Amino acid sequence: MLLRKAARDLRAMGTRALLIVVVIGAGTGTGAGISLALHDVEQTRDSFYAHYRLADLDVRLLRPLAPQPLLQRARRIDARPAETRLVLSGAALMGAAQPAAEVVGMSSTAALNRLAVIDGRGLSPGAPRGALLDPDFAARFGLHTGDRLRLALQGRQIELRIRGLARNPEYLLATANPDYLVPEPGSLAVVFLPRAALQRLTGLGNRVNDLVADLPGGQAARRSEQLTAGLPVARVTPRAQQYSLRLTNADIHAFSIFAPVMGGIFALVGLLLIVLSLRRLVNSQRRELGALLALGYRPRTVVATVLLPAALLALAGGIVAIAVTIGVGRLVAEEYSATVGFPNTSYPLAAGPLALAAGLAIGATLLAAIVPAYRLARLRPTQAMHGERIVSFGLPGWLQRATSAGPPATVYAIRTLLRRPLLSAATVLSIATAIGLGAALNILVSSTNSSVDAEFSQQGWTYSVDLARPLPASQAAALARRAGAARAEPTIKGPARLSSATGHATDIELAGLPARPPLLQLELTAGSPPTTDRVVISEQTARTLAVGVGGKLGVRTPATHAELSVAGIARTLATQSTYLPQRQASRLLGAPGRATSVLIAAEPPAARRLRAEPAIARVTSKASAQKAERELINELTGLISVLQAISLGVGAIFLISTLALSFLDRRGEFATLAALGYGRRQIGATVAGEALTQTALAAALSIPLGILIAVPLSNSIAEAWFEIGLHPELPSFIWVIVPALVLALLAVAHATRRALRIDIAATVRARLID
Amino acid sequence: MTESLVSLESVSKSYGGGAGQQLVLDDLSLQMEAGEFVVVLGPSGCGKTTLLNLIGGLDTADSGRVRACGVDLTGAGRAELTAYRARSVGFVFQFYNLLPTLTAQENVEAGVRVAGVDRESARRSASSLLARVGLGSMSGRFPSQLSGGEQQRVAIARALAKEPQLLLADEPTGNLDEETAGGVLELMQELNQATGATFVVVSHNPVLAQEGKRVVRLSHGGLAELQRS
Repeated sequence: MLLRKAARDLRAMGTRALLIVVVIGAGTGTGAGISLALHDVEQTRDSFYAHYRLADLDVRLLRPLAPQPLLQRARRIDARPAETRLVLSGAALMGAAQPAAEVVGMSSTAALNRLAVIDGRGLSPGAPRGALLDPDFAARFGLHTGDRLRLALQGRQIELRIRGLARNPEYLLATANPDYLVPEPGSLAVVFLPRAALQRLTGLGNRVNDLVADLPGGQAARRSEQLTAGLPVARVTPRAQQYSLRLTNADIHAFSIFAPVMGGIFALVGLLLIVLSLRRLVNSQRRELGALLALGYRPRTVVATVLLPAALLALAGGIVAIAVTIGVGRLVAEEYSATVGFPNTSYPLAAGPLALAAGLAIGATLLAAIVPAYRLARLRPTQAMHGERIVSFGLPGWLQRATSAGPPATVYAIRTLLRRPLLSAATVLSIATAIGLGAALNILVSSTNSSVDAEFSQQGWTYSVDLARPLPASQAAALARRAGAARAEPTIKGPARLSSATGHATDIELAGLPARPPLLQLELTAGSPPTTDRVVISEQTARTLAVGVGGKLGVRTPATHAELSVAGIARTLATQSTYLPQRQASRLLGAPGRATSVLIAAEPPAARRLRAEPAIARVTSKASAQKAERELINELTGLISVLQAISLGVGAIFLISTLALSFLDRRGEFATLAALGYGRRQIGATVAGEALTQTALAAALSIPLGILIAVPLSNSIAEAWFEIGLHPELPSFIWVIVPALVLALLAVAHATRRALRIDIAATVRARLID
Repeated sequence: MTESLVSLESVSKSYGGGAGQQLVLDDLSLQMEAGEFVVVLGPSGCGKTTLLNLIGGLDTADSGRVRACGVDLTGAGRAELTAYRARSVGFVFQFYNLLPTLTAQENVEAGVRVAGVDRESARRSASSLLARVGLGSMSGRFPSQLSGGEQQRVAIARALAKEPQLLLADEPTGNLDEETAGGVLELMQELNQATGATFVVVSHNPVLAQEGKRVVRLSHGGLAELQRS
């Protein structure tokens, strides 16, 4: 009988039941969906790098050599597979622009660092001028499969035909200036050609300058040293240090910190609304439960009477929660993958987030029903049937006076918000949190942009010039001056590993700095500039190594090892850069007195002249790096927009369901207003007044909430990327509050339509259930 | 010949459809004059409330013609019916239907302001009416702070505050004890005399028949009996 009653109760509840199910599903599913998205992007990353076989080690040589001796070295240390490539730096000739290019001559059947062809066809030895191009570069310069592409390479001009577009695990996030952790999508023309074809086109014969290999497990460092011993090595990049992998890991790490914060906020708000909705549902049955008690039913049975429909709602809510989890998870993961550039997104259905969604939905709903049901069952039957507690409404005198201004419909609307202060507060808080989360994401974007602008604005250099091979510092500076640079600051950069006394270690890029750098300004947040044996590290490195100013560090380069201490800590976008005086840095990197790059202050013609020099690998302008960083951040806003849309969507669901439930509870009152002669416009204005008041309060509350939410999110960005100073600005809020108000108006229109469709005659006779 | 304040001509009304259709009013004709106190009696389901709803413009007839206060309710649109309810009719319901978040004073004002009366006049009118129904000292209380009888008095004050031509009361004493019900009926009769408004009171309480000046008895959808006391 109870089951029949439960089913009939649900049928009678109709829309209200549906709304409660939506609240349960949306509240718990959104939070779990973000957790599922994190799982999906991690899977996507792992399967991408596994499927396209990112090599364990990449050895770049200073000059091309014959391939066979290199492969024999690899075989001697059991590095299998191992492949040789010819990788050359040059420039793409795109009219006035001459962006940096990296041309990779590789086997068309490569087993390592394989190509993911996303348009056109793969490499073919039969098509020696048929190149595959990085899709970001193609998009940036409007190139398509079948177009021609001209390159300046090894002092020659080469014309190629674009055979297709392809991503590669090594160049997933390509950048012309890898000093900065933030990549510049499309800034580097990554071109893939058959190796033999590139050798012929550049006249280098059967020579290569790059070896990629997978190492057998264990003793990777020793095997790497064995492999490179005696070779003219320009760079050794272990898999973990590979730029794209490092960046995607950092990015996903940031997301892994974002995800629980955002998921938690959604889940918390959802749970709050579940509790309130169920409490309202149980209390609306107060009289009939009282009647059951009066008929002699035991309290246990009365609780069961409530729990059965609640269980059915919980079950339906659980199913919706799973659907919402999958939907939100896919939406976020898809957007995230597109932002990073993964060619495919993996959607393995992780049991954890799905079980979490269903478990939370069912558990929270049952718990939310049990508590008020148990309280009701403990009442005397007369108390329960009478229901005074439910209909009682009173206000302190001052509040009564304060809310008595305006037409009766307005007074009624305002007082309705005070009728269930907890529900009103929860609704306002839910909407404020949804708006605040959206605003927090906007604050992050604008603050990150401000930090990037601030960092670049204090730099005196206008171009960063990377040399094709290390040159004596004086020669590098002279080269730049000859091209027309007003000022030139030669520096050296090279890989190194820092370790602290606390046992922490991290890979860094050691950079040389003149005693008084005219062009590169460090923003020191602690300590002083670098001096001999005293290094300046980034805030991120300091955090990773758990050291402060004065802390002891060991540095290991391919050439040597040294003991250092921390002179200062810098806030920088180049988070891996570690600064020492130029002279000591060049010595530690095994190239005393030499430079690998030059920072210059110059006009564009000087940069063009430098690009034409064979000794120059690439020239990156500060403006383009700054623009690219902004573009990257704007790309990330695609993901942020999805999250904002979800926030607002969930907020709208909460608002609509709260309004609808509130309306359903008060339809007798609306009917009374209609019977008194209040017209559609006045009743509509009453409903609108309630909703807009709540939204306005939520909008006001969203400002402090948005700032509060932005703080932990910015900390997670600092941990993964670089330190940003929070700059909350009004537009960050306006861009979220305005859509929220529009959604509120839509919710109002929906609720008003329902209010006006009421059957006055039937409703007005029903006893008002408050 | 002057027009009756309320006139129903061959009015029929049914609910539901198909086999479950229930004819509630069947070819009913009835007139009510200005200033009358009409009691509508009859067993449950005979159409008393339906009759009241049709006169009050809360529902429309399937066939026939309903006119009240000079308005043809049969062909009236939604806006016209709203204006009619706002200006010409006051309602009193069995469960009072006071707005729980408005005080007694504000509930009464809500019934006046809708007729386009300015705030100050509405306040004066509400205060005066509440005093008249014996609740002058309770005007600041919310409905939940009033007894059932007091709430019904507020509802009567609200219905009369706009000085309607017609007051329709649906089982106004159905939720009250005998003594309180007697007081409410007495008040309604007093107000009927004092205001000159036509009172139509639906009830199945036979005691009311003795108090009413005119009794309309409905049975099975039709007029069973007209009685004047």
